[in-house]
Amino acid sequence: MGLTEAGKLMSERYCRVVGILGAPDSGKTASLASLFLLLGGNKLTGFEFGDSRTLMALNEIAQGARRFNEGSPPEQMTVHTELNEDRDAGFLHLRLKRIADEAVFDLLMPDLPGEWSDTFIDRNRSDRLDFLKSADCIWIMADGRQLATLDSRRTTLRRLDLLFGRVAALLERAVPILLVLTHRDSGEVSDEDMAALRASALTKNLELDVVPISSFRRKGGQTSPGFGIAELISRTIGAAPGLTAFWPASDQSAESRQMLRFGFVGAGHE
Amino acid sequence: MNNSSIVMIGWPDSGKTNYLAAVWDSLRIGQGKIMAPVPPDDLRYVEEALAFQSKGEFAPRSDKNIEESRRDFSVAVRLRDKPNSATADIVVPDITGELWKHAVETTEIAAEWLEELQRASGAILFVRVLSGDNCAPLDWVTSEKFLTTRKLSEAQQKKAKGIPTQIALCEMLRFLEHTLPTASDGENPKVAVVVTAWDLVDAQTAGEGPDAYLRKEYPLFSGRLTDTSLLDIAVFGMSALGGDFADPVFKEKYFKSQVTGYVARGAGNTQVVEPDITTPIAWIIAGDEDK
Repeated sequence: MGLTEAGKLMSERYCRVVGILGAPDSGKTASLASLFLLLGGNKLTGFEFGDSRTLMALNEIAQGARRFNEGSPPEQMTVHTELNEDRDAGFLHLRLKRIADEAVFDLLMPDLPGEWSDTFIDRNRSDRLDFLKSADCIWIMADGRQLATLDSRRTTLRRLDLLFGRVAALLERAVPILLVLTHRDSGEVSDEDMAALRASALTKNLELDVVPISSFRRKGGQTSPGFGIAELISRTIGAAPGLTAFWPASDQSAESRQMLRFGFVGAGHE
Repeated sequence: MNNSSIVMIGWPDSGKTNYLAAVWDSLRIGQGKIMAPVPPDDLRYVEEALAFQSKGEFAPRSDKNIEESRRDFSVAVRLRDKPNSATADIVVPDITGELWKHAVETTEIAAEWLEELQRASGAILFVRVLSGDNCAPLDWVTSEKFLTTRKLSEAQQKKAKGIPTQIALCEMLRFLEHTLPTASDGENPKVAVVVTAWDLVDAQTAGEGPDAYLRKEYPLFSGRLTDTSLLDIAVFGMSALGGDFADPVFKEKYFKSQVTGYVARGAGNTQVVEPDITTPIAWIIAGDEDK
């Protein structure tokens, strides 16, 4: 889904925009695939599928059939009306129904190459990530195994610290940040590293919450496939401004949100 | 309903032909909630299918005679208890499985089908229990393998590009949302989702009803059915003939005209099972008041 379609949808109904950042191979695509497989099997605890305007794209991601062109990821979010061999950077849409109260939530999640996060960290290239300013929640993905491995631990912590800094500098208001630690099936992140990450976020005034997930389950893994994804969705929805006191109130209303430099007027709430 | 049409659509092997043949037989005999005031001029499509059924076989979907005669068949029906009401034409658009697949993949359908759908006042969308053509989503192991494999083999690519049945159904519903017109009185167009081969489900599943069946087998489609505000939808479990020809006991009873098809709607104590397979068509024409 390109910018125009996303904008149209947002003008029809209130959509929660979820920013997803993280290095290549941090597990962004796998988490989206896992979410879709859970919904396809009616196993996303507490939620049911309602609709998706990007159903085929989600299916292709879950089937490993959509891939960013290796070595040369897309430069911009583009609108393609025809199927492309290479994956376009764009938005994925999901409408979920929460079983407990039958409330319906529309999520717009960008499907971005990890290289965009790398250039954000290394060169502060934020122009194509401008939509994060209007996001309801940002997922920062990191491979938990890299924190548990000695020769990648320090780099991972440092890169996350830098990413927190870039995100904090970009945002013009408080946006809930979920640090999503992937590959929970391989083990838990140490208390020491968790404390370091929380301290890093705190110094940048970021509201950080941590959700460990396991998109799949490797042989001998400690958790089931899809572990933590339902919790991730619950917290993402709960993180929306105004719905819960967990996050500080935002003074920016939905009506005045800007997304990728386009204004959307008259977005309705559930 | 004013001389409009009801389109029957579904993936290959979803039971359209065998259902419509059985409906025609019911119309011919003069049973059920709907009637055909005038027999269609061209009966080849249903007669060829009935020829198979009369021999104790289901009409094969790949039969070329049946495929070719389908485009010429339509039958005008009206409610039996409202003999002066306008008729509705039941039509089966000549949309092959491959063309449907192309439509779902590209979100483009040919102009003549689009016009057919835009003229229709309602639709029957078919899903068949235990069809060999049903495609399940990838399992966790295969999905992860495909995601982590740098270059997929040709066989893997083919599998990775398969469209699970529930996704195809969701996309078909989207086509219907965007094409079926709203009635002049402002009512949403009606879509009957008919789960065929309902006699093949076990007793517990049958008791839980066709909605629960879809929720269990096709949760994405089931969720989608409850999310639309553009269509009125009802789900029916359908056994067009009342059993399976693979069962010799049923077959013999069928030859002796001792069994009838039936339709189930709802679940548990409120489930209604009736021996009138025209019920979904009557529901499209008249809604629940004449159920």
